[in-house]
Amino acid sequence: MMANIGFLLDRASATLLIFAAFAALTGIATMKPAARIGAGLIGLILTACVTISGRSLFDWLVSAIERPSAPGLLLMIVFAISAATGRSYQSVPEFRFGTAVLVLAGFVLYPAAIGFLNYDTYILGYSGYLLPLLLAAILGYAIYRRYVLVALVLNIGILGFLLSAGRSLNLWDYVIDPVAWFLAIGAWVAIAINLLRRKPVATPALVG
Amino acid sequence: MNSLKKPGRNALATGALLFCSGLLVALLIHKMTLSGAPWTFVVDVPQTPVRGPLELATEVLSAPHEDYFVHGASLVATPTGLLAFWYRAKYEGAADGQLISSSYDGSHWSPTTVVTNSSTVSRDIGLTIKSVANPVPFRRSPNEIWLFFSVSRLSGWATSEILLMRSLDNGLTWGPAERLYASPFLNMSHLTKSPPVLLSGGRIGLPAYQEMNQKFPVMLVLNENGRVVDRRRMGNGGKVGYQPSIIVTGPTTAVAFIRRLRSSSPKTVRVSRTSDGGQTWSLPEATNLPNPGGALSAIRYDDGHIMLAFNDDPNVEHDISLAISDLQGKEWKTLGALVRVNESDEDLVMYPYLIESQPGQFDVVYSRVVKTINHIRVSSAWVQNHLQTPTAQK
Repeated sequence: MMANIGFLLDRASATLLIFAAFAALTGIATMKPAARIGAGLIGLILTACVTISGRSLFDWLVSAIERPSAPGLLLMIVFAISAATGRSYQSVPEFRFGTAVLVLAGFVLYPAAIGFLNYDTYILGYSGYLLPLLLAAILGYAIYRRYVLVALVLNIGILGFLLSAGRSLNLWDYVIDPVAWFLAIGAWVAIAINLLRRKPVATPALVG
Repeated sequence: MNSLKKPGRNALATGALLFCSGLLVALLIHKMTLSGAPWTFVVDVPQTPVRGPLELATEVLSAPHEDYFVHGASLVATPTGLLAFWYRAKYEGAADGQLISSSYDGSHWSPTTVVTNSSTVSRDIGLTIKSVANPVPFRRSPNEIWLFFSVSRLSGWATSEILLMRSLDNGLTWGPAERLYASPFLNMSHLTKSPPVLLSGGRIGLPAYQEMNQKFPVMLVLNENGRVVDRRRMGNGGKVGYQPSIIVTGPTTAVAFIRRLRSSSPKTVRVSRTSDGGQTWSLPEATNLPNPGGALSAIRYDDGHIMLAFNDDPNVEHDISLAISDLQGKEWKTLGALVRVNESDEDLVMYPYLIESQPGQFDVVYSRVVKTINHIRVSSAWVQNHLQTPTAQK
């Protein structure tokens, strides 16, 4: 049972990313959800059939990007739904909050953890007060603002860590993953572009 | 439930969420602030009586007429002799990688056996991997051997992670490969080279190194089940060096000898030290031992000395030599070359791996560009003899 869940989780990121990418590309030509879903499924079949160096494109992606964290899985599901339905979540406050937290957490974690900075922030996920207190603050704010999905998904991540349910015994790996970080950065780039586009034109000053 | 108005239901849901979150955070803080085993090393001081022949015994382990790339040899002592491991592939990093073993009964090396290969590992872990490399055996109990090794998931060693296989019958049979999770960035990119050290509470300190972009040594801390529970850098990170070889010198002290990057200077072995049981390590500093950017292998020689197998040249790997130092790794005396190849040839001798297989008996395995894995047996009598001989005569 656990092996099957592990097998599916290992392929969840690749499946959702390929589906969302093909569905979103089809969105340039048609807004029909059925067509987008069909394109997403065709994308999955295509990547499973096209082989490079004895490995399918789908397998390459699975080997590259690992399984998602709980927030990462939710974000990819949101992206897949958005790509299939054409609905944008950029203006939803909960989406903005969740992705902003992921962007900031990723900048705290990844550059330091892979050696670009002197201090290894990854070890904060093995022991100590700091990371649990930061998570408590994020959870408190999310509950205060009634961001139920954000709070729920963080709870699932924390529960997974408490039960040592994943391969990692580091808290970071249950609340963020690099794919989620890149998607969140992408979401905020899109939000920033839209904000700049909608910037109101300055009213001409009255003369005299 | 129908009698409950929407605002009431919302308040109830928020209250439930708040309660669950509070409970989980309390459990989280409890778990993460539990005081675990103290940061102390298990100190194993070998007894090294002066014994054995004054001559070196040399042999080739790998199959005759080997036409594949063979590299990354390592050793572990068994009740009947030695067990050696190395990896084999069409070329370095090729997709058909195999981990090979051969056993030594004191006089002959057995025919080679495939421990595992790329496709078996892929099946074990449920992910397609490309190649396997750098097997590192670890004696876990009288009959149990753990074998750490690196696998590249995509192309190049920068996409590597470390795996573990266990044998409960001294290497006759092996369990499936298991993944060690040690990095938040797609679990890339750590590799092994040197044997682990023991920490208190049954934990293990596995020397490893980061390969992607930056290149620096780390010590992964594994619990008694072989899962990563901490990791500590040797120095700050950045482009420092790799393949640390850790020698425990006291309950809270150890030194790690580090292979230099070929682009770095001076062209000498680097050393990092800890005095708090491996929690923090000093910035790697240069020693006065030459290093062409080749691999190193160190062991504790006796109560006051460390012995190192290395390439005694700042530029090329034409020899494998032994040197002895104090426990600080500061004062070195070179004992002489175990093997030297002709400098005019294209041949190189690389990747030494040194163990003390019995009191006063040392074994070194290494690889050659001419596609062989080789073994040299060295006695403590040879070591003592060369310690007393002026360097110029060797």
